[in-house]
Amino acid sequence: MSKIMDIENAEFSYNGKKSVFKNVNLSVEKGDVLCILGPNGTGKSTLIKCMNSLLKLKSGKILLKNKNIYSMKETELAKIIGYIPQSNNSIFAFSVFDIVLMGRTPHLSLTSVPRKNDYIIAEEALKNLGILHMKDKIYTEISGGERQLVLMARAIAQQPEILLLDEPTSHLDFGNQIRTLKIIKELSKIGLTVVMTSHFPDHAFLSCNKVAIMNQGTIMEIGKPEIVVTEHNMKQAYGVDVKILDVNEHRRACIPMQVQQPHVDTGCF
Amino acid sequence: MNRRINRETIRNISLTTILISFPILLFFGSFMIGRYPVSPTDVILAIVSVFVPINANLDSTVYTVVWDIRLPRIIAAMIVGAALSISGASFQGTFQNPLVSPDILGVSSGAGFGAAIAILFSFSAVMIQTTAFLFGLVAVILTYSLSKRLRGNNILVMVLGGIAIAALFSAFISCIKYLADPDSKLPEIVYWLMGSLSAVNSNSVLMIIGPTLIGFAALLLIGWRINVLSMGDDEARALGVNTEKMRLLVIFCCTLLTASAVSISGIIGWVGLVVPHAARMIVGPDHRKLLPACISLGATFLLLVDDVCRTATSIETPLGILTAIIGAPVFIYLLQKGYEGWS
Repeated sequence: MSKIMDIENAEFSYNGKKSVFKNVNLSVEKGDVLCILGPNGTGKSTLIKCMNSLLKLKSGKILLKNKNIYSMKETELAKIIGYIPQSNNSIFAFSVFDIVLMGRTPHLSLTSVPRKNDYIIAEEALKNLGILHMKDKIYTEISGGERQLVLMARAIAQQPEILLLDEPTSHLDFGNQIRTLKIIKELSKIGLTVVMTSHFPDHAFLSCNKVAIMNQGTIMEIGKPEIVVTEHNMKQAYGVDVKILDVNEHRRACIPMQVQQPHVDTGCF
Repeated sequence: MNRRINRETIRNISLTTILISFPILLFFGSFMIGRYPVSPTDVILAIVSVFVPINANLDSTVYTVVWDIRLPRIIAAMIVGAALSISGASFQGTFQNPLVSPDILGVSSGAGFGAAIAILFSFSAVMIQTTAFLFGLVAVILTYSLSKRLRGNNILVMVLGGIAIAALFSAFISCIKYLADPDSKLPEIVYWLMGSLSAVNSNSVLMIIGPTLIGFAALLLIGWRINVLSMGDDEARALGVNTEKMRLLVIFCCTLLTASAVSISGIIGWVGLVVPHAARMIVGPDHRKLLPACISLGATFLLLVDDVCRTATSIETPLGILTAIIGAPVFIYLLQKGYEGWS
């Protein structure tokens, strides 16, 4: 396996004084599905944005295929890295197909518009995710889960080598969460490298081969899910008791233990 | 599937035909409207006989009316309407805000100040136009550098900065009005600020053709990029767009267009806000179609309004007043229709 992205001693700060995270070392190999876990406010989303040079590190460096990302041009970077933000609020009523077609932008020159080939790739991306029927729907009128799929399709149309997903499951219902994880797993099978953040330790077992736990501004531990997602680590990161169970030989699960509440049965209104 | 595509194609073709033919028909129609009656055949003869050596046998007044009075004014109205509309649409996309108008960065107030100074010092008409244009640019440059200095690349800061700069220049305009001679200069300044095309001649049109052509061409070429910009900064950058440079380019083009427009017409409100919305209702939000549609609709709209201005009453109605009187109710109507573009 070859290293595709390498983060060395990264430190980031919004105001120059208090750093959001520091001493972050992380390497991503081709085909990895890396899940970054950690409590709110430890800088998971910030780290993802740094990986895409949307934010600039205070110190340290990020190497993409042995090249410093801050020395790369936007289009060059966008051909290698695709990014799906946590939420997206388009103001204008674009059609789903237009949105997906925007994924072709890094492959176009400044003044050119998408051509036939780009239309085919965009349509292919919609087909891959099984949402070709939504093609002509208005993006601002579809549900959150559908939007997530559309953004995924756009990222696929972009044909990147790495996909960064910022909490891809946070706005989704139970079924869509699992379907999204399945898509992520399938994307990794066709050679795409995925880095995502998540709030659900259990999702690491479902779709990832690598987990990093971020806590108190740095990476606490990194490795295979079975090794990193432990009862002890979860207690440390989130402060809650969890149980790691083997449901069968293919499925390990992380479930929270009963919520301790002294006055539970006071009636239901 | 095939049938649906066909229907869509038919719709597209008929829409395009309408959007192209409307301004052209109105262009020729407008020659016939006005104090001095000119018949359709005379208009055609007056135009054709200049290019083709035929014996038109026309009164020389007809030539003067068609070539020296109406033609510059018609072209000016079309350019101003198109320029304000395409700038409005581009700004709305770039700033991800459907309520932005082309003078959001202070260009109109700057131009107004320039014109007021020029009028105060009794400059010639050409100089009034030039100073208005230059001060329009100065105001936007101030806004842009202010926002750069304050907060790097923040859209909100830029828009708020624009409001501040516009307020500042408005105050300067008031100052000059206060200083101006109330019998001669003051009415002239006030009338300029109301917006009118009555002073337009072929020279003033020739002066703005260069900058406006650059603006139109560049914006039409980057329509796709404006689509991506309208998705928000982070996403646009993740899709390989250098948002800062792209936004600067859009601002540059829109400022060229708006400053040129304002420099010959004075301040004309509402066109740059309302026409983009109307166009978006017809062709959708895709700037590859929206921007050409804005040119067509904007040109048609302002020419129509200007035709009314110069014929409806015995004294010319200032154009800016009429666009506001028409624009505001249209805007309310669009709001009422629950148009999806804003929520």
